[in-house]
Amino acid sequence: MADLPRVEADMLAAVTSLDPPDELAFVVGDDRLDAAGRIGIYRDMYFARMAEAMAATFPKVAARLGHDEFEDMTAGFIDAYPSRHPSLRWVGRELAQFLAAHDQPEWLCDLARLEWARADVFDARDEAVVRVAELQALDPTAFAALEVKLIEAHRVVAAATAVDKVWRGGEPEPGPRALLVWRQGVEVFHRPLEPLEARVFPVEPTPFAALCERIADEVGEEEAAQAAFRLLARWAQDELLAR
Amino acid sequence: MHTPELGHGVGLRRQHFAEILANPPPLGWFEVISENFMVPGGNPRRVLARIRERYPVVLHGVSLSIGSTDPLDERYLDELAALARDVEPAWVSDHLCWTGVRGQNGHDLYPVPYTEEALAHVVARVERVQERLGRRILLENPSSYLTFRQSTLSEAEFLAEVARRADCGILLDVNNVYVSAHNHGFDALAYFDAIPVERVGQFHLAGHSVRDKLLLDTHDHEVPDAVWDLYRAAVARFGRVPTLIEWDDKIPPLARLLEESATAARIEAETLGAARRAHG
Repeated sequence: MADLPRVEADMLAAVTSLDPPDELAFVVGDDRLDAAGRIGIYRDMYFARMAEAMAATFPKVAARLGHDEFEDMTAGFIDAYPSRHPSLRWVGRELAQFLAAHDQPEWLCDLARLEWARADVFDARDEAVVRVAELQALDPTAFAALEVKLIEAHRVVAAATAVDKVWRGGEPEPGPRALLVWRQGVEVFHRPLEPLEARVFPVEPTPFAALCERIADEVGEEEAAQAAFRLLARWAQDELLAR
Repeated sequence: MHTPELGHGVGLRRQHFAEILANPPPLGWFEVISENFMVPGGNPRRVLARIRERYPVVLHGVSLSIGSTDPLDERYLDELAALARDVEPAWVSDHLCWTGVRGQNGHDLYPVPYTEEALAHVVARVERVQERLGRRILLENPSSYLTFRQSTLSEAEFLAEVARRADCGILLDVNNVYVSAHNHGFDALAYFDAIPVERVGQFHLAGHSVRDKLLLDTHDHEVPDAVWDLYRAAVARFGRVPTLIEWDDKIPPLARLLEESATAARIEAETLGAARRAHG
């Protein structure tokens, strides 16, 4: 008789459920600790480990909520979104939508979104980048063939509030903005996209000529070239341009 | 299982990256948690590459989930195989445990019921993993806090039989034997006696905590005297085996870990010296 699948399922349910079963027939208790107490050790470690992993990924959300509220929130979250990945690193991906579904303020959801993006770029693939000096040394005719491609270690976070200010410890305030999150070397940065930058941002690899056309549609032919070179220089400065 | 004679090492932890790179300590090797480096890039992989230039490295996993009745995670195995190709570790290890089932991961090292059914299941999976990685692996004895009513074998019998049937090695965690012996009331030395000497390729040493009447394998303390005593017995039975200090929580300065490693080296030398003298 195949007992193993059932025993494992029963144990995991007893360890991870918010409302654990009373019946623990598969565990042998003794006079030092009964079956419920022995399962309780695994339960306590499970919820503590999840809260610890979430606090590592979302330190600012954890600080805003405070220890007890964050632990309670984590228990509810992990019940709604159990971990399905071998690494704890992926626990918390759905936190922003969980908070939104539980009537948490928009700025807190944005903060979760921003912290997830920061964690996400931290261990993205390393890539060689185009330096400012290389752009400056480029023959002007070569720009026509240049493809603007950003490194994988970047994300754009669409926030409904001024979440960058909250991240720095400021008070929540309205102000929809797009935040660029990226890694430079081993450090993660974020900043609001400039209005023009947000409208022409090269989500996909884009020929420089096409980028210039997009910018011309926004600012007019006369200023397009200068604006395009300025954005390109900024992305190179930020080490965002993939080679 | 014969493993290279690496001597004494410590677990590589993020808190010590900078110090190790700036001033490489006199250590035989480092053990790394495989999953911490199964990422496409970033700082961890860069540091690991630099450390690997100077030291042997061993990959120690926590998510293989060899005892789970879920299918083996093919993507995990791909990533582990790729990491092993990149790092060229002295060996690869994981635990005799399961971490989740029905797609849900509990991120803990849960014991398996020690039954014939589980034995056949684990053996088949170890064989699959070894074939996939192109190398034999070491399985570590877990610490545990419960016994399954279904179990018909002791943990030591089960582990020894897995190693024999699947032709894998054993990572003998001396602290885990101590913790589980206390929690389940078995004799730690009898446990050693049930483990085949030729299968043991590595020792782990660590500290633990007390919770009510049980011990918890928390890896957040120095190695206690009772575990050092058990280490003496392990060296006496299994001989010179690469030994690692594990310290995963409340991580102390690197110098403290090096002291613990030096203590292990001293105890090993004393124990082996005494054995040589005894045999004249």
